[in-house]
Amino acid sequence: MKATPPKRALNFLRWFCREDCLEEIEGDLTEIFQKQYGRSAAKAKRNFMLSVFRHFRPAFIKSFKSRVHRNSTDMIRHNILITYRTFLRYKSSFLINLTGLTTGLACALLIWLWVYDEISIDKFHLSDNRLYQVLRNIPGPLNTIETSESNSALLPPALTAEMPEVEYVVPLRPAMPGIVTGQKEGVRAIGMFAGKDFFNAFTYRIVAGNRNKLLAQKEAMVISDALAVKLFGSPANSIGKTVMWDVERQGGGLHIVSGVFRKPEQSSMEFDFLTTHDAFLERSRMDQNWYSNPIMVYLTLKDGVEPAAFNIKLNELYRSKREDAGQMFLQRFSDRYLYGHFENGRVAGGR
Amino acid sequence: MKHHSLGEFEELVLLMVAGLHDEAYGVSILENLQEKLEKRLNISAVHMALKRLEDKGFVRSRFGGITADRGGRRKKFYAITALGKRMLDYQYALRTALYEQIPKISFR
Repeated sequence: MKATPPKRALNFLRWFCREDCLEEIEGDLTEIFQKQYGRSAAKAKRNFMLSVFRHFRPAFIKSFKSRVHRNSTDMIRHNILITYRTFLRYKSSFLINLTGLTTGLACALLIWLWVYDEISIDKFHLSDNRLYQVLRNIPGPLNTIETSESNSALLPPALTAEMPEVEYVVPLRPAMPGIVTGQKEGVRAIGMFAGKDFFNAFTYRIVAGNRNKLLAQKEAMVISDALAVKLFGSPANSIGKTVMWDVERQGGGLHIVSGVFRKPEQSSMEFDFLTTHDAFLERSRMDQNWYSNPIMVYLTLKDGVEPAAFNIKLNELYRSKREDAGQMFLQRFSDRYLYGHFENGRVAGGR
Repeated sequence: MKHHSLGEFEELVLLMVAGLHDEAYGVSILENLQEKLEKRLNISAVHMALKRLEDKGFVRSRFGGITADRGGRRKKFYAITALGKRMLDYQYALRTALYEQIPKISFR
């Protein structure tokens, strides 16, 4: 009985080997295999496979390039060839074109990155599609309409009490530049006074502290991770520590760190720390009434509430408090960055 | 002969092709080389050398008849060409000339 060489190795050889070498190689391998098979079948098989593998080298591998010439591929190849020759012939215009195209592409890419970054500003909050700022259109000089961010300090409690569509109301007031002092020397920092639900509506990452209780106490202060490192060495180290805050024209005050947030890059709000709205009310020398508008008001609507319908109810509320009231309306918070400029009560661009 | 090159193993295979005269094909070259060199070789090395020699024009080949123990594949016989013979002569002369330059004194 004739021994047969290993099938798989043989098929592999037939698959890769050039036609003009195959007959010689396969014949010689088979002959050696037959001779060795008499002595040891396993050794013969092993040797056959090894030999096939040793033949797997460029000199014996056939060309796998498709021999079918299609019009489209030939045309492209021809065009590339002509292009290459043109480059060689007109070197200076080639260089000018190359640098021009490269610069153009690089610019387009950079612009795309920049636009992408601008579009994604303030979009990171979890309730982004329900997060609004309350704005007012009020009569300006010469029959114009002015749009104002400012609102009365009485608006947040009124919204909480009378508008069930509202989930969180956040009063906000930027503070004057000041100096905060912890264990080490003081540093300049920008602060804001915020309502207790600030971190529920604006979902910054909390590094230390309980998100729901961050601004519960009047003296509470929530600082950024960068500020925490500057003041106390680390975020975890700063919880419960006392901070002295000196503000221009507003005097100083002692605050207790209740939490640390991560300062994101894609936020339009610039602040290093927050303290409470109650602390603001205490410092404020302005009367609380519907004609005094010292704060900004943000809110999240409950799921499924239409802002247009809410606007109507909002104006009814406002008119019931103040007779000469202007128009109150909501604008989505993340739209404020790129569409924040108003002319005659309508959006006229931004940024 | 300047622009022709011949590797060491190629030279051995070429010598073997010339020596086996008309009976030289892959397996016979391999077996004879193994016997002379007292060393195990793989057939792929012989095939590679033969292919190079043929590309350089030192050997030419023809197919023989079908034999049963080759799975129906023909043998490919190699024969040395005139160019191949001149190459061997040149190498032999070169080596002899160089060998004779060795000063006898150094190995007394």
